[in-house]
Amino acid sequence: MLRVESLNVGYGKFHIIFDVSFEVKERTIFTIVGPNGGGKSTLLNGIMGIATVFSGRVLYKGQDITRVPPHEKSKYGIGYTPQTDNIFPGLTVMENLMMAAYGLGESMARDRIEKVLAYYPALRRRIDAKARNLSGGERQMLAISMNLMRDPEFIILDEPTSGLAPIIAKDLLKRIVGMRDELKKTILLVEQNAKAALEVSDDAMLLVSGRSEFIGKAQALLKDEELGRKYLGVK
Amino acid sequence: MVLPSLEFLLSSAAAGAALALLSMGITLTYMTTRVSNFAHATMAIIGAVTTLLLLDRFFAGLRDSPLYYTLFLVSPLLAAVVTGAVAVIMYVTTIRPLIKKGTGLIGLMIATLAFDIILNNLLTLFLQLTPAQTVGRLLEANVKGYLVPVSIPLVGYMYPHRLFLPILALLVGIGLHLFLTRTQFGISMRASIENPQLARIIGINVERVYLVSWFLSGATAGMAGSLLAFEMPGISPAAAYLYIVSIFAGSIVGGLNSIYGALAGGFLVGSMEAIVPVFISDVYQLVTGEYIDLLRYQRMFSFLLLILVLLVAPEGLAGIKWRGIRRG
Amino acid sequence: MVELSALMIELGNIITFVMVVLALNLMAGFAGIPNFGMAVFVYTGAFVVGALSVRFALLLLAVLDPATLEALLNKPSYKPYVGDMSLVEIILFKTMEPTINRTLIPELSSIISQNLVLALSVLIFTFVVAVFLGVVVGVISSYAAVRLKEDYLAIALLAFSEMMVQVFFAQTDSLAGGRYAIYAPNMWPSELSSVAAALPLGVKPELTLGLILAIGLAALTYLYAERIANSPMGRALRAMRDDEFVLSTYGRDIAAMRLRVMMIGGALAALAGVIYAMNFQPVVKATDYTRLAWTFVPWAMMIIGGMANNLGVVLGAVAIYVGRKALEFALPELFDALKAVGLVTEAAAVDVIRAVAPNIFVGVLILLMLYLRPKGLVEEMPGRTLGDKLRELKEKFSR
Ligand SMILES: Nc1ncnc2c1ncn2[C@@H]1O[C@H](COP(=O)(O)OP(=O)(O)OP(=O)(O)O)[C@@H](O)[C@H]1O
Ligand SMILES: [Mg+2]
Repeated sequence: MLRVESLNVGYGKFHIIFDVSFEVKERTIFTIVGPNGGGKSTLLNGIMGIATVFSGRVLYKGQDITRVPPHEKSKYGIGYTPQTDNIFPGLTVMENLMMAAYGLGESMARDRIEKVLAYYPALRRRIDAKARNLSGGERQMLAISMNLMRDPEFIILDEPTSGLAPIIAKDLLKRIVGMRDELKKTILLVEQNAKAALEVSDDAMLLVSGRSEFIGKAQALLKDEELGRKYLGVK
Repeated sequence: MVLPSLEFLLSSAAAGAALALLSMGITLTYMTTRVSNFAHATMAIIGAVTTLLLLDRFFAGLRDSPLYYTLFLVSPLLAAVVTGAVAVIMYVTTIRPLIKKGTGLIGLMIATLAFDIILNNLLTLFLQLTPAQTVGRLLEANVKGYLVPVSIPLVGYMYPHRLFLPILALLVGIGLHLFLTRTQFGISMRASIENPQLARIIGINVERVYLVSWFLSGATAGMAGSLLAFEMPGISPAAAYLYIVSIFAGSIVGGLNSIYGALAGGFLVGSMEAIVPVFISDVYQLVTGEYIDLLRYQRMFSFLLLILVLLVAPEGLAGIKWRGIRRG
Repeated sequence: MVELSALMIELGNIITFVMVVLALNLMAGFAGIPNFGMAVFVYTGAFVVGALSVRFALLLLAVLDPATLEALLNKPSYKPYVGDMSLVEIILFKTMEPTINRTLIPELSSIISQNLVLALSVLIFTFVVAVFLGVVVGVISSYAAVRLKEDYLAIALLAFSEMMVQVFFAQTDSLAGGRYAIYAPNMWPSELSSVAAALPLGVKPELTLGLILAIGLAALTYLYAERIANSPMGRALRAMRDDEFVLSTYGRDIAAMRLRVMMIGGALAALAGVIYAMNFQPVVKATDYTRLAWTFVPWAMMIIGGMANNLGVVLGAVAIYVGRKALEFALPELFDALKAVGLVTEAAAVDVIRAVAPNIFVGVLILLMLYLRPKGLVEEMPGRTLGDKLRELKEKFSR
């Protein structure tokens, strides 16, 4: 569904991602793991066209979308939730959701908001609160809800569980699996919590210092003792 | 006149209202595109000139008709269209290409200074090329030439534009508030200001938001200038060079990161400029019996306010609050 | 035929701009301080010439030669303005009165030229006070510079300059002329003028002297700016401009360096104002020291030449000055041509177009430069300057 071909990405003149290629198949979870500062977020930003792509291509359903401006990408059915700053703190929860449904038309937007609120009832109680007053868990819920507003087929999530209490993180991961199995979504996931994420993923990549050290089945990466010990803290 | 007359207060309020609109406009483009627009005052003068031309060419014939006062409706709107277009042209031809190239803050400021000089000199040229009689009248036009005071209950006779300016500022303030909180596009403007990157990710055409912010900024400048045409005796392009300092003062006093702050800051600076010098010289005269003319130093007051705010509250302006709206 | 004296005045103007641009380049190009208030620095020098030197000369004359002073100031035509003020009061408060100023300054000038002690004292006073005030304005500006983010700083400096020059001094008539022009006194002793008069130039000897002084000062300024560029301080300044990290690591030292640069740059700009007002401009008037003429045009010159590039900005100053003048002179010709063809009928328009065209020219030039060559026409070598290159060449040849 999404193919990345020898992508080189950076910010300004800083070159951070070197020749990374991989493919995410339909209705699978593809997880990127790796040490901090390895360039995982930068790679996602490159795919979205926020960071500078020096060379390489991004193909979505066979179409070259490398140079499609970021705001157009949502129209292709790609939803992205960045790692940080993924909500508008000065807007209310409702306004955040409305923005995420921007351009959908009023009735459809209301419909989607209704659906999302049904999925995350906790948000409904805070609907008129400024997003900056939400708890960490609620923020993350809001961010993911915003991602789902346009009913994207392809969902990119950057460390959605970071900073969440273990129980909430576990629940969130379960919901992500649910997105694949019940909502039939394709998911590109970056996770700090490598073991838990790899266990539920189909494919995986290990990204170290901007280069891919491993690409293959998630289970294989999980079982690879050397890589696991070296980079993932998996025993 | 230590106790000010109502007429004086109203005229001060009119000056404050004009500056409120102008400071708001400068803040708007600063918040969206991070550009400090030095051409903003010249846009107001263009609005004023548009209105004076309109008076001279069109409304002069309506002098004795009640239709004459539709002037206060027609001219701000027309001026708004003209200056809104100028602002859009400025953004599209000058600012946006430079932002795309990664020009820094100071480079962008110089670009607006350069654009201002081009615009201001073209305006001078235009005024001088229109037939001499009109030019003379335009440059010296003030209330007396064109307006008749009307009788208003409780207030007595006064020039009508003085009421229109505060009303217009209030209407624009309310309208803007509704626009920013009730409309999709307005909310998307706030979203783009808070986090342009996320706005792009969720599908907002941030570029279009910026364009609209420039249009609104220019349009409100034209409106303010249109009514200022009656308040400022002897509008001339050169007046813009000092007026811009007052506009920035209002904007900075308001915090430069808040549209409501700018409206308040502009009103404060504009009315202070009118009131404080007169007040001080009145008190001085009362105490010493000597008259001093402080009104010609009135722009000093906005400058002093600007410096005071910058130096007393540098953190509030340059510090933490700013991070949130800085462009990614 | 253009007169030699006119050419010399143009040359003097160019040299003034060269000094101003070099000073601006120290502040903005090297130290990264967006000085949008350059006009106030230049005006400071002019203010010293027009307002302070005159008063100093008169006060000194009160000590050296009271009789002459008495004769100078005790005029029936001054009576309506001065009433029964004492001489000192007249000197302090009434010398800028247009009617008095117009007759007083020529007379004072000839007295100064005949009195070597007086002339030298006034010259020294002028330069010392201008340097001092330039430094003071620099210190005030850098007080803001350490506190404000760069765009606020630019606005604050612009506002400061406009308020001081265009509002305060322009409106305070008794201080420095204000709404009326005041005359710059001659400060050259006849001993020097007669030497200059011996040159077969056929121009006023004071102009020759002024030009020599200007060239000397500009050369010193250039050498100084080059020394700064090549010093460790210059390198650090450039590094700090390009890299916020350096700024945070060496914050303290750099604040001190910025202060020094603002002081030195301020002094140099004020000196430029002195030589300009003293020699190349018949009158001093605050409203002439506009943001356009003395802030924006120098910025344009600096950007054309390339920031932090001393030779570049000097070339930029010459190019823009000459370009603007050429436009001024060429336009009437162009107009005559257009009129001959029947395209233009209004003769009056020539004056306006002459006034606006050079300004539009710089505006457009700036925008084009920002877009096409933001680093200037003569690009700065990272870490190297013209001085380095010359040294390298010298080494190559000496081997
Ligand atoms: N806007 C930016 N400009 C320049 N460099 C950046 C920028 N954002 C990140 N970097 C650098 O890029 C490198 C990779 O960062 P990135 O955030 O992509 O890593 P990551 O793998 O997502 O780390 P983490 O696990 O902490 O989220 C880091 O060295 C970081 O300092
Ligand atoms: Mg990351």
